[in-house]
Amino acid sequence: MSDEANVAEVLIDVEPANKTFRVRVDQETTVADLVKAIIERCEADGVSVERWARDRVGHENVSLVLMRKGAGNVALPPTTEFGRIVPVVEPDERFSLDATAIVG
Amino acid sequence: MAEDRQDRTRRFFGSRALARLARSHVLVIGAGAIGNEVAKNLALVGVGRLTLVDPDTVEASNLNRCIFFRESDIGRKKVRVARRALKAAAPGMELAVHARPIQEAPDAAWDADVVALCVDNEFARYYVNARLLGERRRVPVVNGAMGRTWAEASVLVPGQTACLVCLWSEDYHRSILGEEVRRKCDEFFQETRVRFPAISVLTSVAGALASTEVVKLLAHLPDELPPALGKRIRYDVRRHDCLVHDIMPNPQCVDAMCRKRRSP
Repeated sequence: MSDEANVAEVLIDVEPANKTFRVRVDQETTVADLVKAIIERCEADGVSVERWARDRVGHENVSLVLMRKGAGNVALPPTTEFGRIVPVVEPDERFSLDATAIVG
Repeated sequence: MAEDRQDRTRRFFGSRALARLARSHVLVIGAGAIGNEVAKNLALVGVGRLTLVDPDTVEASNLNRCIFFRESDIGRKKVRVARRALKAAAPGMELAVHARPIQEAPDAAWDADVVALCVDNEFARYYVNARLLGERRRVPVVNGAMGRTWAEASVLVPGQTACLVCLWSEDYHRSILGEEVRRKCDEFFQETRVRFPAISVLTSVAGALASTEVVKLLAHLPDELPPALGKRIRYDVRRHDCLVHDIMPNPQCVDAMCRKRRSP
């Protein structure tokens, strides 16, 4: 997302919902904001992202992670603001929701 | 005799890298399924010194995927059972085992070139991360874990790359600390933990990924065998997808020491 473009639409692949969401983000939107919005949207559709994640990683506490797929594969920390991601986020760039493994 | 044992390893790495492996010390935290695999591979590849730390005892439910454990070992400390098998596999390796939580391991255990983290609880990861961030030298850590259908290993140098908790949210951080407090206060907590489905093939893959990265770090052959520094490798058995991705360091990491060591 360039400085001139304050808002961009990105695509988020969400496996438990079996769909891709188109989401509008601005410079200050954080990864945590986006993940929260996806969880709420899925819940409204009757899909529990957290139950999916618990089943995937086998633990009550799950850490959801947003993966940037467009420019290499990068796991983004929750506090990351979209306006600070380098290289800049392109319109329609693809991301995915993921869960981190815990069991050793 | 020792040369014969490592003949094929020497042909793979070369004499100088093999000597580096023989001079190396690896701290393996966790002697469960992945810890068994990692310790086995490091012993066979010629690592000179290994410290294994785990407070748990062998249970019947471990026997489906832990190469070192037998029916007769149920009730015995995992690290002591592993010691017997490791000594047989690599008699020349210097081996120390500690049947206690990593928080109570002696300082000598931390005098390691690489830490292999093979635990099943996030508080241990949090503790190890804090400990490594507090070290003056930067010590690489390879974190092995499994999901339902995948195995993964991340290769991090806390304070240089992302740390082990850079991807944690504040809420997740709080829940992990809360879980640890609850575990310490509730004597029945261990019995109420959910048992995750796990099979030997996945633990073998996870152990192979993690030990490969440990060996790459120790052999120090950056052109031929570059370690996946700052990355996570994930192998999913559903469609045999292998994904390698970067873990972005978090300037607002929940660990204050990570933030401090990262600041200019």
